[in-house]
This record gives sequence, C-alpha cells and structure tokens, in this order.
Amino acid sequence: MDLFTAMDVGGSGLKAQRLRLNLAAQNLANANTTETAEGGPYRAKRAVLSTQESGSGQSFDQALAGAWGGQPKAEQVQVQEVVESQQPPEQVYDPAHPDADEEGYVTKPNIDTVTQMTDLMGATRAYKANTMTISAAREMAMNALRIGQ
Amino acid sequence: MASSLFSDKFAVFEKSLNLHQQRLGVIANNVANADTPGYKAKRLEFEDSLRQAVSGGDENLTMARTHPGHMGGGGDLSQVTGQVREVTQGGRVDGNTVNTQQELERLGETRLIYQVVSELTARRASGLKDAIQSGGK
Repeated sequence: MDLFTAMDVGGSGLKAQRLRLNLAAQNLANANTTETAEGGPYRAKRAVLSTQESGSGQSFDQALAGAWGGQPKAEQVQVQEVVESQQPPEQVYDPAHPDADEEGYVTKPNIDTVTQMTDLMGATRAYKANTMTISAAREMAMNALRIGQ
Repeated sequence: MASSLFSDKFAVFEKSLNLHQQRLGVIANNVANADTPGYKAKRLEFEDSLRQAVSGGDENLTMARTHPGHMGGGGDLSQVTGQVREVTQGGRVDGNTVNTQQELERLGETRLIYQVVSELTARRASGLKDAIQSGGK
C-alpha cells in the first residue's frame, strides 16, 4: 500500500465521520419535531459503518496492489446504511399541542440528547484522528521527495 | 567484503522506507475503521526479519563470506516482507479491537522513523554527489 492509498483510506474515514456528525446534528435539531413527511414524529438516525476491502468496486491500481500478495490491503470505511432507532418514542402530556391525541398526549421523537452529544464528540475525535493519518502520509511523502535534492 | 560506491546500504534504506510506508497504510486502515463493528485491528511486523537480513542471519550463526558472490547466511533483503497480524484481544462490545490512542502513538513513531531513514538516505546520496563532483577537480 503506498502513501496515496493511505491518504485515500484516511479520506474514507473523514467522509464516514462527517456523515456521523451530520446525523448527530440532524437528530439534535429535530429533537422536538413531531411531524415528518412520512407521518408521525421524527426518529433518531444513525450510521452503520462497514469495511470496504480493496478489490470491491475500487480502482484498478488498488485492486492490483491488494492482489500483489505480501502487501497489506487497503481497507476503506464506508457507510453501509443509515438506520432509524427502534427505541420507542416518548409520550408527553400536552393537550394544547396541535399534534396531541384524544387523551392529550404528544408523541415526541425518541432522541436522547446525551447519546447524541457523546456520538457527536466521538465523531469529532475520530475525524481528527483521520486527519492525523493523512497529514502523516503527506509529511512522509515530502520527506521522501527530499531524498533526491 | 567488497564495498562498492553504491553499496547495499541504499537497499536497506529503501526496504525500511517501503515497510514503514506500508505500516502507515495499516495504521490508516485501523484509524478509519475505529467505529466499524467487528473490525479487528491489524499490525504489520517486520523488525525481526529486517534485522536478520541486515545482520546476515542469526547473530550467533553467521556464515562466512569469502567471495562477494556468496549469499549471506540466510539474510536476503529482497525476501523481507511485513507480516500482517490481527489483534483479537481486548476488543469492545461490538467486536472492534482498534485502540485509536495506541494507533496514533504508532503513527507518530512510524513518521519519525520514516523521517530519520529518509534523512539518512538523503545525506548518503549527497555525500556521494560531493564525491562525484569534486573527484574530477
């Protein structure tokens, strides 16, 4: 695996973590949304990540490097799917609310603010770790270029 | 030992740079997959085989080379490859065994060694260049 492939892997990490961050932000922003296009209250969403090994839908160079043998494979991360949380929604008594049922209960989104905040922090840290691998690859490439001077 | 101007030092440096580059790739894999359920962290190990190849096999059992054409005692640099080992111990509940903190430590170490080896290579190359340029004057 060469340095550019390592950068690509870091880039895939950045992309996945950015989506996690977006989902956490979306969940927090919709913590009180009781009406959605699909009907019913908003449901918390989360990303499921998976490994995409070289050779599966990647460039020829990466597939060749993976098949070369002896060389470690590039394992990019990808967002496999975005799933909705199965946690039951919260029932809040608020008869004045336009979405209240006959008994006066409003079905609020199933969003736990603390969980979302920890997810937000985790995504931020992981994003930063990926930028560090990319900058290390870049620095090493620069060092290698200096050999010929 | 017949030591030529372009001795096998460059081959050792090249091998070391190449292997550290691959190790960075493995670290990048681990960091990118730090949140992938079931992912097992990987390590690239090559220090022992590289050391053996450079020192010409086992330090206690070095074969004598009485001719430059002789092969070293088991130390063939071109045969040195990194071995990928999976970390299966100490995982999280979701089966992931990546420890990002540890990976970043390894990342720092790898980039430092790469910097040192590339600096050594550059100095050796510039030394040769000096010898070539001032030799004819």
